[in-house]
Amino acid sequence: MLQTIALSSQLGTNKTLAVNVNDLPIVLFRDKDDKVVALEDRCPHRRVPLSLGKVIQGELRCAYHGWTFDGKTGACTNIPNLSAKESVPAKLKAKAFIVQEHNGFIYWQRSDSVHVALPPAIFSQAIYLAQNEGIANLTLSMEAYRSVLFDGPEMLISLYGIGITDYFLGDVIETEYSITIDRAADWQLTGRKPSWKSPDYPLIIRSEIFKHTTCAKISLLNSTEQVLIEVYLSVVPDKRSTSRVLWQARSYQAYFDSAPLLNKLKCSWRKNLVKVHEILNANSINKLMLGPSARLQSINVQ
Amino acid sequence: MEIVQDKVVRGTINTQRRKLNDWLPAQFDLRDTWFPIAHTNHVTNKAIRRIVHAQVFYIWREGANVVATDNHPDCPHAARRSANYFTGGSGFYIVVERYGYVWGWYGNPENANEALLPHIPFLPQNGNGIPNYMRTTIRFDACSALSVENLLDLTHADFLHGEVVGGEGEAETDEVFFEHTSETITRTRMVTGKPVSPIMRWVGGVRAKYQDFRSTLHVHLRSNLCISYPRFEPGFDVPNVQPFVPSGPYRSRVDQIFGLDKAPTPFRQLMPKVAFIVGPQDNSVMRPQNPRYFNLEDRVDFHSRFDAPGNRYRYLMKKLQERQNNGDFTYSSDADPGADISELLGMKIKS
Repeated sequence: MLQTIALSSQLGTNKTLAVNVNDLPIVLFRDKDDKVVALEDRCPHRRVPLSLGKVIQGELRCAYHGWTFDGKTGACTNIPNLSAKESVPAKLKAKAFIVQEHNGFIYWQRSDSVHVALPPAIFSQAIYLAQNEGIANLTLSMEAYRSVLFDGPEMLISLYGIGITDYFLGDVIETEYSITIDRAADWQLTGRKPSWKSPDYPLIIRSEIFKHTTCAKISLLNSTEQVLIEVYLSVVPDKRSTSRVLWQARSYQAYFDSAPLLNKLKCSWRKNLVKVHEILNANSINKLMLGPSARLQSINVQ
Repeated sequence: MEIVQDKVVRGTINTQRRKLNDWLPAQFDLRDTWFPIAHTNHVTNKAIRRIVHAQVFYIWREGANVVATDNHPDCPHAARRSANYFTGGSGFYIVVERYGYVWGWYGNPENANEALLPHIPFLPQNGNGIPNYMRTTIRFDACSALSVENLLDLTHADFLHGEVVGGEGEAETDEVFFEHTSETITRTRMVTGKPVSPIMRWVGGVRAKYQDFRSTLHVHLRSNLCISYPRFEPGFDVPNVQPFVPSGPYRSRVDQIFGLDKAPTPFRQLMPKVAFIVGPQDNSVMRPQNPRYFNLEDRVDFHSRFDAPGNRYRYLMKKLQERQNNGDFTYSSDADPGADISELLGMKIKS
């Protein structure tokens, strides 16, 4: 299985990036061809995180004693102060992982025995008005995050000028690749929940969880099911039951074409219509009524 | 760098490697030893609190005497810890003042013996005349054994402390040898023709381009007390004591004293402050390193030949702990912690 572990933009040239998948520490860096490589974030010499070290000509040098490692194979290529006649024993290696860059993410392959195909494009349209990305670190487990995405996405994300209701539209739809549920939404400059007295909610929020991954998507649609905004979220399980959410979002021309005049005016100068919350209201999440997320337990979503 | 091992032959190195996997530095609790638990100038008539492993020491002065107990003098539950093995049930630890420290006996009080206090030849035995500026206190976010490994290791200076002591990789010759007893390990390094370190040049005023240096580190295993004697020529001797007093498995405290009375101003005043630069640099790797040694693992640490002194340290510590686990707390006949180490430190030998 492929697991997203970072945004491509997080990793500059000659930099290291430390990430965790549960309790497994991984260090990412770019080799001399600028390709992403990954090692276990632990020097096999004295266990110091390799992410504290320096990238030297596409290889990673440990900060403690200067042992240097190749990112693709994990082989130790240099131990300082060895004489010219001495070579580094072949068994001196750090653990290397297979990683690939795609869709603006860095994917880590859990098993290096079988090559896994890269996932399809994450957005439905190539032409967009604005694209944003970000990271949210949360004190919520991956499983809990995805269930709240299904039962109450407004607690996790905000879309500018949109109020999200908890009025579900139909039942959960399951396909080979994903499971989705729709709910109603309306134009609300304040972002508050629309009035329950309103006879019509013209917008749709679609929560989609992709099976066999830790990814999800929140889409904003109008009544003709044109996509106005898409938010793609990859939830990475981190240490101590926390989660790291890597997200990318696109807003499309259809958002402005569909919006009421006041919304158009207010949004026209904003570059980012999407906010993925890092600080969550625990009280509200606690009180969230169980809904379509009950179906997540009966299917294999990872 | 050439590692010369006086007393270890190649066959035993392989055996040691197999045994080195079970290195759990945070779990050592070696007893019947003296720990320097406080700078003497920190001890007044008001009790201060110190920790050795998991033992609490309250220390204060009553007149000319230093007193140490396992409960605060004002504590209403004074009798609560009177069954403490380390005080023999009396509630009082055995303490002595020497070399500018208050030393506390950690172990069976019946075995306390002042003859087991380490010899520190460059500090006055009565502790008089040590200026406060030659004393520092640094805390490390790692167990004391990892800190001692760091001190024994020589290959990290260029990477962690390059701007302070760097240039060692560029020396003409570089020889390391070590020797040990069952209670100590002594590592000596002799370097010729190395670029003068920044601290020597800009603070010490050494104008030569190159210098020779000899550095001996003498480690008492039970207490992780490190006595260091670096000599620089041209330059000065920078003797110092670094006692890595364990504060449980996660932290250690170093009340360091320098013996810089022969060094010129401002080097003698500023050199001790380098501990506040070098300490955090070491801590930056030791802090994340420490939790990775909490549990036994099925994979070994890899070593190079430059790790020989550190590997020997691991081996000796484990042997000592094994003996103590079997109830043997005695000092073997090859070990005399109080023996004169002036010659061992190279104080009378020119490099």
